[in-house]
Amino acid sequence: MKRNGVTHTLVFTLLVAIACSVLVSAAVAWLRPVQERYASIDRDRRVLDAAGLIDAGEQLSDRAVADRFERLEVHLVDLETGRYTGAEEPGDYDYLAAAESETEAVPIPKPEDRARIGRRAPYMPVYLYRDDGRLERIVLPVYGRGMWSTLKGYLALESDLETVARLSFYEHGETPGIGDVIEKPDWQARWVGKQAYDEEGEPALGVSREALEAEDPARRYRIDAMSGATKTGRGVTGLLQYWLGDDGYGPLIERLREEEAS
Amino acid sequence: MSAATDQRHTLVDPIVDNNPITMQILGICSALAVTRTLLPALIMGAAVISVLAFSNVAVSMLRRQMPHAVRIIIEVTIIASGVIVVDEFLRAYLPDVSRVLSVFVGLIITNCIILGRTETFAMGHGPWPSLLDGIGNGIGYSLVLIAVATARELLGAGTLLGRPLLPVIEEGGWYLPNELMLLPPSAFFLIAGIVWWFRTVKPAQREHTVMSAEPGKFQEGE
Repeated sequence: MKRNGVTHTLVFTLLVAIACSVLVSAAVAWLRPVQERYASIDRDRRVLDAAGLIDAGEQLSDRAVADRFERLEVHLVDLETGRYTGAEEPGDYDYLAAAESETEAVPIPKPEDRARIGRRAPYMPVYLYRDDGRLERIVLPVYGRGMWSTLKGYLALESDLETVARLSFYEHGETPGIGDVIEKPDWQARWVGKQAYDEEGEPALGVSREALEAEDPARRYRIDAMSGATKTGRGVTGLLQYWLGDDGYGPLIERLREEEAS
Repeated sequence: MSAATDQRHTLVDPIVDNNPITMQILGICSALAVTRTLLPALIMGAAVISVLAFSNVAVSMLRRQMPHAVRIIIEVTIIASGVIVVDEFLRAYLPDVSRVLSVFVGLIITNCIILGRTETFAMGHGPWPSLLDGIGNGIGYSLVLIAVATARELLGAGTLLGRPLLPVIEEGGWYLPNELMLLPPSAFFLIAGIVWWFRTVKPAQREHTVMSAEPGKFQEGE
């Protein structure tokens, strides 16, 4: 066969293509379980951190993460009713994939869609930390659009289901040196102790649009604006208010509040 | 020249004398993107070394059967496969770094250094010299990346590999981080500085023909 002949070219190209696909598929198939294990440990570690079960600066081995995670109660919640579905392995439910899926996703009505995500999964996993049967903290996964990217994080509330225990973002693509302040510990620390709802029970948590006076009553729900990162701040406010609202975790929070009171 | 010194030149030349970034000005885009902190730059360097070595050897072994008309496509197919394997590997074993590098590992496919080496070197040499050439060029690329990333992380955040070296004012120290260093343009300035420095120390690297403003004409520089 001639080196530059048509047959040789076709056969050669085909063989290279087959060899390359085998190589790539083998690598993907072989590495997938390792990737999934890491992803789930990573997720559990972030949830533990939001639940206040990891001390500042404490390094936990993968094993310790799995052990400590046993202390949490994990449920899949039907957002519509706020009831648990009782599904197995609720922590592995991929709500981001479900929100993309044609069959499962629930469209979010425009005026409600403060997180600017368009549609959501019908269910969300939530994590409860109980001490002696008494609710201590609840961790809620939250996400929404920032300036450039989707911000993904966890909001943890104290046992009163009003007071913020922690807000952390673990993934975003905001401007380095400006909007990426949302991943900084000192910025995240400013949320601690803020109230999620105002007197009327409406979600009020967020980033202030203007500078707040020291005595401003809005300080109960708001943290100071970040200079230069107005749109990122607006995104944070939007996603918090969406997830705390009626289309988000509102029904669940209401139900838990009643149950915990009795 | 003996075969041994020949091999040594294949490996060592691209590190300083014919460095792909400073001499050939290739691979600049990724050098801007992944040098904000040192760790991703190190991993990116290792990824490029592996992909370069793999694709150079693979192309070199196939070079005698390679149909001339489709060789670039074949080369890119091989490079792309190597890149995907490296990317999957990073996602599995270094998920945190992989998140920082995000799309830039995938973009190694379009890194001109790789296709440049397979096309100009591996197509004309045996697998062993091609392996050395791939590793040498990869190291040359990595060294520039490491230099730029070290400067950017140290001056931009006062840390190296995440460890605080210069105590920053925010935490009660004396160093005020230069935030420009965190933004991509700073890599441009730093790379230009390195090129300038290389060409001052090694005048042989200076370009002697300078493009004239008149189309089609060249004027002698120096």
